[in-house]
Amino acid sequence: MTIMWFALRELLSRRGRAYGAVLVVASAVALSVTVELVSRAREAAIAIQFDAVGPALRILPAGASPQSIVQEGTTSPALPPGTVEAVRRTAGPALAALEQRRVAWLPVAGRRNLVMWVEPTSGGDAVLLAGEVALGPVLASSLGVQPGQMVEILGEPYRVATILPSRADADDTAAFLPTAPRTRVEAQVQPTELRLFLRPDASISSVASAIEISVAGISVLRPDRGAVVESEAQDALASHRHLIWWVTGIVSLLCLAVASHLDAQERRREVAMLVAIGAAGYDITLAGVVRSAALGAAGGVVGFALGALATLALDARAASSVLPALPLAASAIAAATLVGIAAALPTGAAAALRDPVAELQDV
Amino acid sequence: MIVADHITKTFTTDDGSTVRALDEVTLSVDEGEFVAVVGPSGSGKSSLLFALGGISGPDSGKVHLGATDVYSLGPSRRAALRRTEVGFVFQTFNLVPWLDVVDNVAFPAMLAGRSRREARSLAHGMLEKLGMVARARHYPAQLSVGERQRVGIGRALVNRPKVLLADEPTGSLDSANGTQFLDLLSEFNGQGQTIVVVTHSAALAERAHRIVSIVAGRVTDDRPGRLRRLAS
Repeated sequence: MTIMWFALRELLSRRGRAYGAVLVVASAVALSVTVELVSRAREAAIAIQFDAVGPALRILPAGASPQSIVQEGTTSPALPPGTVEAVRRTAGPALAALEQRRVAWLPVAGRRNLVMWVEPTSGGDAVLLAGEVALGPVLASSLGVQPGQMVEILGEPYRVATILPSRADADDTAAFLPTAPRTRVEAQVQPTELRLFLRPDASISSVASAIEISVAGISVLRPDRGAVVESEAQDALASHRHLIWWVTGIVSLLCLAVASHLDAQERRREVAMLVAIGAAGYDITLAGVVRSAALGAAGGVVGFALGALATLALDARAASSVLPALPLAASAIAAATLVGIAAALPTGAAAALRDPVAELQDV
Repeated sequence: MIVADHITKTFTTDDGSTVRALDEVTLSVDEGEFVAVVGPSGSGKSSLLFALGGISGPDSGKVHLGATDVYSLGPSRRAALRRTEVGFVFQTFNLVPWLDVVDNVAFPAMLAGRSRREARSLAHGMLEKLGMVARARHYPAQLSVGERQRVGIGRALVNRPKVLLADEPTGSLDSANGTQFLDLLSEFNGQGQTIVVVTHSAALAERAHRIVSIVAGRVTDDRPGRLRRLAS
């Protein structure tokens, strides 16, 4: 405790350098926190958007065509009363499983593109056969294909069955594939078709491998549209978040290591005095580590505060993500403190090993 | 009390040459004795002092403080020995500039495991002895050089060490302050404090019981000082 008290008093004796070191660490942490909070805010916004999209189920009459994908409305009046409730009751436990893995960004004619899987048939009428694809008009135009032509998806040739009418949203850029026949079983509620609205965390990069439907006769459609596009941007941002955190850590480490080294050089006489009055080597090391850890922790606190403020300034939606990010704050401060410790250990240990005689005799 | 037994210490200078600072030095200081070590610059006086104090070990030979072989101890235990058994006073005081006087004096006591309150209480007692209570809340930069050296001696003695080692303690003091400081050392020695002083000052040396001369790392003379002569 004495050495910690001494080290902190020592730190305050050179406030200019301490403020400088805190500022650098705080700036680095603030950058990371801002990116993180904005990202989280966007994720939350996407989730909210999806939650607000509409009912979880859409029940359509048997034999609905691909064009029915673009039809609005929640329940067809042609269905018998109680159908929706019956479907929910029957299929309800399995709905969560269906919510995942139905949308992917996959190579379509060599280009990464939104791909959605829909049930190939409905009540016996073919909508999309195996090996067929329905294309959004923008995608079809950009590929320069017409119905009946072939297009390569996932390295496999598909025949363009139809080109959907424009909705002026992300569906226009999508390709719609039929789910694999093996996933189909007979519908439990006939003659209806169940359509689910997928959540945004239907993951974009991990889909291709497993598409499993455990409830029969269900067509899955994702009406997320624009949000899906944002979701892809979100994915790109997420990959940068990790990079930014690493850069932050390295910048902070270098800054604190330099500060610790300068401190160790300037405080040689104080270190020698400490040795003379009975400080052990680990006391000397501890003093340096405490100073650097304090700078790191202060940088973490200030950095999180600055990052939160910057987030609010950059993105009004992010206001709601600041408070729930308190664990992030704790992590940022802990990480900055650990960086401070790591930065000071080598110089602290070196200072402890130095012969103090020259400094004590220096007049 | 404190014994250096055939200690040798060599240094390598910046140009790579080797300097033998201590050459088979043997010295024994009894409890309550006041010993002055004199000699020209570079003769090895300070090396002897730091070796006696457990700061810088000899290349060969042994140093005993009481029954303890100082350099057979590990670094941590030797640091503990310095905390409790040895007090150092330096020519340039080596006070901590950002601690006030009372904290400067209290710090070794805190390092020895006392609470800050307890250490400050001890420090106040020491400052009373030194006539420095009125300056307790001042910082070293606000003190005269004589006052700084008093604080230095207070810091060295706050843990009631067995031996006080001083390296040119009057080297930065003017004549009046130097005399006051010598009076203070004599007073503590009169209370039984063992003191070893490295000095160029003839006045200081003459206050000692013994004057040990070192030239080129060897003890060349060991004679009684004025105090011893008066006593005898």
